[in-house]
Amino acid sequence: MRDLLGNEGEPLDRISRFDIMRMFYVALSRAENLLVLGNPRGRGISTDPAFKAMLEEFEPTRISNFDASSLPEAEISNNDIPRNYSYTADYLLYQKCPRQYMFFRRYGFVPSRSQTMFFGSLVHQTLEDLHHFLINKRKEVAA
Amino acid sequence: MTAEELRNIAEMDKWLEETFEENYLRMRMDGGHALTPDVKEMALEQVKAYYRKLRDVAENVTDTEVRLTLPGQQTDDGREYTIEGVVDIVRDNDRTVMYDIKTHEADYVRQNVELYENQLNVYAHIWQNLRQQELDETAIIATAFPRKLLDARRAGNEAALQRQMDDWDPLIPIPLDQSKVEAVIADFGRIVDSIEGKSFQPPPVEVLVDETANTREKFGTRVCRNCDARFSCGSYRNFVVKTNARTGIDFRRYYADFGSDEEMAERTVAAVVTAIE
Repeated sequence: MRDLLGNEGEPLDRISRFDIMRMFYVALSRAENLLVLGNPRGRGISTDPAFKAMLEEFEPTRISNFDASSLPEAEISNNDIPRNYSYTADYLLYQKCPRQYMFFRRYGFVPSRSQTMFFGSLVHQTLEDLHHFLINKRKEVAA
Repeated sequence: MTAEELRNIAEMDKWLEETFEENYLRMRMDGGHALTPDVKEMALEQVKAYYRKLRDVAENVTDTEVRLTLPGQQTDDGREYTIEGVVDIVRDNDRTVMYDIKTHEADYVRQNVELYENQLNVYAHIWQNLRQQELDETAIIATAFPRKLLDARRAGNEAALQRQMDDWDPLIPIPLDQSKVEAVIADFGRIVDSIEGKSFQPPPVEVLVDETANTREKFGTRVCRNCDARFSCGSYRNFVVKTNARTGIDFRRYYADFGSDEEMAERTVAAVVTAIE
């Protein structure tokens, strides 16, 4: 790959360190209201120097001293682009069960029982083809 | 039936069989799922029956998969959104009729007309605004075979099968009534607010044990037992506890409940079919 790209990129011996930095960058920057960091101690456990420096600088509150009521109300960010909502795939599905909607529509989990859905799609698709076939046939006759 | 009609039906059956098989193979490749042979057969029969029973509708279709959008809607919380819907088929010549095809049973549709009424009337509302053209009619086409027809089919009784086939009316007119459209759209807006507000609580256990809504099955059986997310769902757990109040709940059995023997066999067969094909 490097030969093809013709440039060195990140030094090989530092890539895994950079990957860890990238992962922590994401993990630490997503929180909007409250960030909880584990701070395990004990034999054989050491804190990375980068974290040590950060913890010293910010002096975070310990969980035992944390007053949950001091947490500001979460602000739900409003997306400015108006979204499209489907009558059947959103409105009706959410009405049936909001939790099921979350799993299968919002997070895109694939249901294990696929027979009913496959059945419906197959019948619909074939009927659609049938209608196109009949429309074209009619056009040919008219022409 | 005249010889001409019989020939036409035989020709169309052949065309449908080929198209159906092509679609099946493509969708199986796309999704990686298969249908068990008997379920696949049933799907093909529904398609063939549709043409036989509703040939007049099929041959007068002028548009399919008509996308309807209603932009510029606003929720109570001030979010802007667009309602989308797709109508399966439209007849737009001497009369303008909108049809939605459902793989539901006609009897179920007739008993729960209000469910379909809301949907089709919102679609009709969008259509009439978009095209500035009045609709004459809306209807549901219910392609699932009625129970009695299935019984006759299973028994192999040709005469009874023919009688049930003749009795079966898969076309259910839905009253055009625009009086409720505003309320449905307002409700739609509230649901958009709930979705964007990330409120995803399952219905309370009272809903799960309820047997009404014109089905003899409980919501917990009809919907939840087919839901993969049920084992981490508080409402479903309470449902199982409630429905097993007398015997007490056996958690080993609860977590090993992957459906009835029939359902498990169906999944196994489908998996085997996928592997072979």
